[in-house]
Amino acid sequence: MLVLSRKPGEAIVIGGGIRLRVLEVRGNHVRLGVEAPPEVNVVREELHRAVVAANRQSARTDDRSAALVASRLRARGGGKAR
Amino acid sequence: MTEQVLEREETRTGLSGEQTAIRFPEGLPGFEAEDRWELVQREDVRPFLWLRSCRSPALAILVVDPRLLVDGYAEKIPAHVADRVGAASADGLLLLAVVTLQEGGGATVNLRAPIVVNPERMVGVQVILDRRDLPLRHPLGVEDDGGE
Repeated sequence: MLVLSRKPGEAIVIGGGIRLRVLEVRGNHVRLGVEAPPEVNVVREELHRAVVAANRQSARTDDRSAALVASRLRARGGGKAR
Repeated sequence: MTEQVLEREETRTGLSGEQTAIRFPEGLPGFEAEDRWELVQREDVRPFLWLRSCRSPALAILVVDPRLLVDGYAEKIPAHVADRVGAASADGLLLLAVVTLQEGGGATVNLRAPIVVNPERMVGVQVILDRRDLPLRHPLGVEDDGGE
């Protein structure tokens, strides 16, 4: 891991197109600003980790359980959530 | 949208599904190396579908079109998402939400990070939306006790 020290207001540039700036440090809180093109996904680590976990859990689904839940969903009818 | 992609499934030539493969240049979160996936439709899991990796056919994720379950979902997809799959607008895109089954018979869908596919180019990506109103685990309401 590359470790750099920054003061509030200072930034780092990643790959030439992404800029990460330290906006404010208050207590144990750091506010960061990220400038990146829209095609670059920027997310909090814990959210990314949760998406990974959900994908991996889905990949462990067995056919029988999926069929059972699907039949219940069909039986419930077309009621949509809002 | 799903029909268009699935029609290609039905006309596959047996060349290991190359014509039906959807390219995912970034893979999927947790499966970054799996860059080609195909949609598999089986009557026993309808309305769910399996999204199966071409490289690792034993790897399949359970998905569902979120438009079937949630009104107005497509409108929550920001326009720049269409750019990521080379589409002019979000209108023609196929949306898929990952389904996870819970202990006790319930199921949830990930509305926060939909899989988005451009059926014209057969390119897809899973985007993580910056919308706290969209849950990662939206209940489908199919628990054993029939609760809603």
